[in-house]
Parts: sequence; C-alpha cells; structure tokens
Amino acid sequence: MMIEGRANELPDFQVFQTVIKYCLIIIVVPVFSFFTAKSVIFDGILRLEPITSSVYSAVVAVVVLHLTLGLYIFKAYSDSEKSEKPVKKD
Amino acid sequence: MAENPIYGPFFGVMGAASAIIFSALGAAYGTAKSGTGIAAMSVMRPELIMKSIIPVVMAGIIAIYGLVVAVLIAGSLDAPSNNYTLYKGFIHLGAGLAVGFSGLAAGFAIGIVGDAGVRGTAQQPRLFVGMILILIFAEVLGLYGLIVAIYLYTKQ
Repeated sequence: MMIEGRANELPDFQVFQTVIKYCLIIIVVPVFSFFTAKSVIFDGILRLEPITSSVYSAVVAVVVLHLTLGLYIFKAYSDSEKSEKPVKKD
Repeated sequence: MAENPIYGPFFGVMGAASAIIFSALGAAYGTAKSGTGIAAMSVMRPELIMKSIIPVVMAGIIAIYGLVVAVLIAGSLDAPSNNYTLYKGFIHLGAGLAVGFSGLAAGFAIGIVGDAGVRGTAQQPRLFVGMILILIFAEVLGLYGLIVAIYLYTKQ
C-alpha cells in the first residue's frame, strides 16, 4: 500500500533538496538582512542613532523572516495540491 | 549627579540571558513535541513531511525573536562608569523577560498544536489550513512579546 502511494509523490531527494533550500533561506536571509539593513541603509545612508538603527533593522529582519516563512508555507501547500493523494482501494 | 550603582549592569545582563534562554526553551519544546507528531505520522504518510515541517520552522522562529532582543540588549550593555544607569538595567531586564516568557508560551502552544495538527492532517488533509491558522495565532503571541520588548528597549 505504501509502494502504491509512492507513485504519486515527489522523489525523496527532490523533497530533501527543497526542504534544505527553504530552511537555509529562512535561517540565512533574515540574519543577512538585519546586518545589511543596519550597516548599509540605516547607518550608512540614513545615519541614524545606534539604538534607532538597531530597532529598525530588527523590524526589517522580522518582516523578512515572515516573508520567507510565507514562501515556505506557499511552496508546501502548492506542492501537495499538485500531487494527487493516493486513492484507497478496498 | 549620583554615581551609577555597580549592580546596574547585572539586570541588563540577566535581561539578555533570559531573552534567549526562555525563548530557546519554548522553541525546544515546540520542536520536540511537534517532532514526535511528525515522526509518528510519517510512518504511514511520508509524502506529507514537507507540510508537517511547518510547526518546527515556526518554533525555530520563536528562538530568533529571543536572539534579536538578546543581541539588541547585549549591544547597549556597558560599564556603570559609562553612564549605564540602574533604570537602563531594569528596562533591559523587562525587555528580556517580556520576549523570553512570551516565547516560552508561544513555543508550548506551537508544540501542542503542531503535534495534534500533523497527526490530524495525516487523516484529514483539509485540516492543514486550520492547523496553519492556529499555528500563526500561536506564533503571534511570541511576536507580541517581541514588540513589547523592542518598545521597552527604545525607552532610554
């Protein structure tokens, strides 16, 4: 029964690749955006106070974090919509 | 002007530590609890693993909230001689405790909802949307703590 179910799903390696890719995006991109926003935008261009720039870049990082999470949820949802679930046979 | 007390930074350091400690505690509980659910569910429905990782990712985000506040607080810690007042210490302790305990609560909620949610999704896939919504509302509890912590942090 599990072998029949496998015919409709993505190959294991492809699922692994997708999950790893999105997990790395979720971990790396917000941290990267925190320091980029702080050093380039808020300290470099706008020249804010240290506390203000940290707070703004924290807000930027949290917003980016939720965008990447939304991306992952969308991907997980749309992938499973595509693959029809196995039909039960009696 | 009165000299700043020597124990002022103690409160700030405890704030930074409690921010990350309690958030990590909540995130660890959320990951472990929903992880047992995923492990039990994937035996019969391995094609749902990608969908069921979502509670784990959300629990991880709780720890990132704590990390952000801990980094912010640690960045403005200083010696009492460099104008680190007792008031600043209290502010930092309050900010750390706010995000820490909110993260703990959110992590508990994510863990319990994630465990039941992925087990249920394996039997009734239409539950997925409901599980995501409940997880988002659990996650937002930690976000409220983060907002209060950042608001407190700017009061100096």
